[in-house]
Amino acid sequence: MSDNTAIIQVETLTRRFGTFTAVDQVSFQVERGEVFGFVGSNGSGKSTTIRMLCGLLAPTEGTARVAGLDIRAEAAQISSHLGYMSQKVSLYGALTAQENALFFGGLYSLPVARIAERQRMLFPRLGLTGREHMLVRELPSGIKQRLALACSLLHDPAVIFLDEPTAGVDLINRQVFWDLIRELAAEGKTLFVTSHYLDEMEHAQHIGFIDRGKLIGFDSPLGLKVHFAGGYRLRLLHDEPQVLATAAASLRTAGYRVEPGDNGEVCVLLADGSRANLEQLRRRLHALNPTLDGTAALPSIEEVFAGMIRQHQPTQEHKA
Amino acid sequence: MNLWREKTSRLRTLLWREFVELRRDRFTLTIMLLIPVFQMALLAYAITTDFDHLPLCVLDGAHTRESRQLVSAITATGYFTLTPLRDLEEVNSFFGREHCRAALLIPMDFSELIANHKDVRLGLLLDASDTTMATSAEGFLTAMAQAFYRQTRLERTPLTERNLRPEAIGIVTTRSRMLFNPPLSGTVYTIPGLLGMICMFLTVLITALALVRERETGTLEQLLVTPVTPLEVVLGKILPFGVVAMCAIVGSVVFSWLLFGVFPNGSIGLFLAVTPIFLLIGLSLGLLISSLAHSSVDALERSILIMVPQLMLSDFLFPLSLMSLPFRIIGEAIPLTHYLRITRGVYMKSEGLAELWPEVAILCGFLFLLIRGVSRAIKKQS
Ligand SMILES: Nc1ncnc2c1ncn2[C@@H]1O[C@H](COP(=O)(O)OP(=O)(O)O)[C@@H](O)[C@H]1O
Ligand SMILES: [Mg+2]
Repeated sequence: MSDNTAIIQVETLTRRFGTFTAVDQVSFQVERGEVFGFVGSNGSGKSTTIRMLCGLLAPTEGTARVAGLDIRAEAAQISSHLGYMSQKVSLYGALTAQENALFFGGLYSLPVARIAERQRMLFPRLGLTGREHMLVRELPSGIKQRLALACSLLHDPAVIFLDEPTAGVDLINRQVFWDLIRELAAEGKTLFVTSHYLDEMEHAQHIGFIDRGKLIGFDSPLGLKVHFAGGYRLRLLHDEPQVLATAAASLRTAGYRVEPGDNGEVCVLLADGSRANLEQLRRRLHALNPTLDGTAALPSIEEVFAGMIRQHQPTQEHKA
Repeated sequence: MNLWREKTSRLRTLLWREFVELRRDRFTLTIMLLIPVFQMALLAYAITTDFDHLPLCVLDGAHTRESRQLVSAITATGYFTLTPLRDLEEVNSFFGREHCRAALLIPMDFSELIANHKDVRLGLLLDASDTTMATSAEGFLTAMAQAFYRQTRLERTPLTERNLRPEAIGIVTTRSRMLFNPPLSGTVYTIPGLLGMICMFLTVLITALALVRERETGTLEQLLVTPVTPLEVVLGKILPFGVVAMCAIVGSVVFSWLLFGVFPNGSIGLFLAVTPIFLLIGLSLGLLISSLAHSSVDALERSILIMVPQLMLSDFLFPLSLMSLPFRIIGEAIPLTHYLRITRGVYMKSEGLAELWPEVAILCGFLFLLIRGVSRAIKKQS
């Protein structure tokens, strides 16, 4: 496996349940050391994709390579390279936190000393210290979730699949999760994370959008914002609506894309958000009217996603 | 070498977890250990009292001291209400009615045969419309006769060939001969059967729920992303429960010995060696049901659905030898049938591996196929 091949390569991966296509011809790549965010509404096929990549579900068509191994032909060897935290917290309730760690570590044939070492490393980072000897069924759900994450990391896998790791987790604990995710990526691990909290996806190097089984977008967060939501937005503010109206007209004639904003303000869309480009626009505005004020911002991933779903809706219905 | 160490360490891990869970879950453990003994006490009691004051007709053709001794010994047990008959004509008209559910025919040369140390054949007619009664009474009377004269050979006389009305005799038309060793009570026939049934119920029900539960909590999926193989998952489930079930069965054997005085005449070693195989078969069958079920309720329904026909067609309730060919073939495809042959052989006929090896081989075959089947089912569903 050479260094310049992607660690996850997905090629026209398809999974049907009966006549229903849960994952439809999905292709993308994830590079080593990346955080990849996989986003889609409920039932869009995220978990099904992950379960295929983990070797839990056989693809109907297409294939994928994870850590250089084919998920169809070499499923047995893949398991030791990947960590998987399922959407459902899957721990043994009658066992203590530490016993769960010993159990899952044991299934990877790790020596007890090695499990203890990993536990010393992971438990404090996930706020699990002091809970080692509590029965898992007596732990609060947020802690169970963190323990499940710790258990899936014991064997130090190169690729880690996290299926909605922060579902139902409060803001502070989500931060704990994402800090660890970024640290792992910095160590060279590859993380494949699904979530429906779209703001979290700002942490990802690449984002894939999946809608009804189809991959409808794949890019970096910035790329998505530029390509799917027109890039930067400069919001123009002024007390006098008249001033805004003339500014909008003159910017339009100069070739800018101008849209009315939500609160009566005017938005200028900038596909190229470079500093030079922004400065040029600021100078032009100043020349028009020195009292015009503007704040530039990127749209949120949420806005991008909403926009993309809107774009895809009609074509889907035509087909149906 | 390294691979072997990894495999065993994974299996050890699976077994360790199952035992920790069992230790924490005292309730399941207690139920598993107590239910067999409870079932044994309840059913053995219910079945042995089945023929309390059974109307028994006796045609004493010998009228000798020995024959009268036999009759009074039977009367003394209190299990039968005796009606003496004078000739075969009376048997003809009485049998099958309320006051004659069974008939014992003592031959004219009864005493001479005993005196000459020859085999004695007693005739026994049973109203087999109530098979439980018939088999219990048969076992009991055989035991009595043998206690009376150990070398007595008992034959279910083919009296239909004489002028008895066939419908009155029910289905007792076999010429089969059974050789028993001297057992001491009627329970000897039911206890080995009960042991088989208890093994079946205990094991199928335990594991029928096991995989569904792991699927519902998602831990099965979590197991299957690790290097664990489906075969290891299966062994990790059936071995620990096999140990517990074996303890329960040994408990039942001791219990039935203390309470009913019934203990294997034949090879107890064979019984102890074969029982784990049969327990593992039941546990694998439960797992197979579990792997196909959608929910716990579904798993329970399926196990009942699987077990009831097994009880019907395995010789446990109704004699398989009296059934028509298609049912006999189905019966042969049921592991319980073969296990019952072993337990009855060991308990009642002093048999050992020399006689029973074909049954043992068949059970091993069942176990092999079932384990393979479950491993495949787990892989496929994943
Ligand atoms: N085992 C299955 N059998 C039938 N349908 C399934 C199965 N697993 C998932 N699906 C269907 O596939 C679709 C995608 O499910 P999933 O991948 O779990 O979505 P997501 O994780 O994005 O919420 C859903 O409509 C779901 O009902
Ligand atoms: Mg999901």
